[in-house]
Amino acid sequence: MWTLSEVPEIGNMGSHAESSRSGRSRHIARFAVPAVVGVVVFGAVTAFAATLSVNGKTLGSGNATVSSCNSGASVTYTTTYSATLPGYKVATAPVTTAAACNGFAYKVTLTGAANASLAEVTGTLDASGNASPDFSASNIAAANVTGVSVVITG
Amino acid sequence: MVRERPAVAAFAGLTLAFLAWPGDAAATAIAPNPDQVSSGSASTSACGSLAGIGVAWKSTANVVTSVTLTSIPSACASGRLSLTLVGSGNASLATAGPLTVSGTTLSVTSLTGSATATSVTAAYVSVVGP
Repeated sequence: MWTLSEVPEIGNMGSHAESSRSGRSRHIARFAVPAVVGVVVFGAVTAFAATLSVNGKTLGSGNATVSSCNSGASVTYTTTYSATLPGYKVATAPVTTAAACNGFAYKVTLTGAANASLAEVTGTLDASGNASPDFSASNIAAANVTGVSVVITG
Repeated sequence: MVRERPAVAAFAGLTLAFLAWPGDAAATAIAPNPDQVSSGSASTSACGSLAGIGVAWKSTANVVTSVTLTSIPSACASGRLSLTLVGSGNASLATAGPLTVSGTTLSVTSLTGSATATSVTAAYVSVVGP
């Protein structure tokens, strides 16, 4: 990159005759002005380009179809007795989907009255597209479960 | 030679400006690759009230050996039933199941644990399915 300090002969300007000084001034002007213009343009473009870069990330867009690996999932329950409740609580809520969903992430949510979430377990479907999320730690009374929601992404 | 310098300098400046210009292809060549999504919800209903189930047991030497459950809701047929006999502090004394419900009555003869008949304070039942 050119800078003014690199322009030749500027340091010797005072040692020449007036006519020569005038000629050199024209040379310097001819040389320096385009260089300065280049620097100014460079600087301006740099600033402008930075702005474009940020805007480009913000404005970039595209469309794609969101598909699913299976049209449905089957959920059942296993229960275990809890002296703490006391009563039967949900132990696991095995999920069965399709092999096409293997390796996908899942989230199973047990819901109760007014569709309130009682507990939620996440994990990864196995090679068959199945999983057995464990709700034991949540101590959800089986009698309180009124619904279940499943979401699978991958 | 002197006349070439302005042109060279201007060319150098514009060249640097060109090189400093970021490729705008990065801003437009966005190819979304969304994850697949499947989701759904279902209600979980009870096959009936289990509070009305009758519980009776037979004991030998004061140890419960079998339990008979009656008045099981007919809608629970084919469901999987679990039974737990509890004592003081709701501690589990003996468990059975899951067993497949085939009617409104179920005889449970295989218990895990030893429940002293006089210690049983309650019985808890769970049915999953059908």
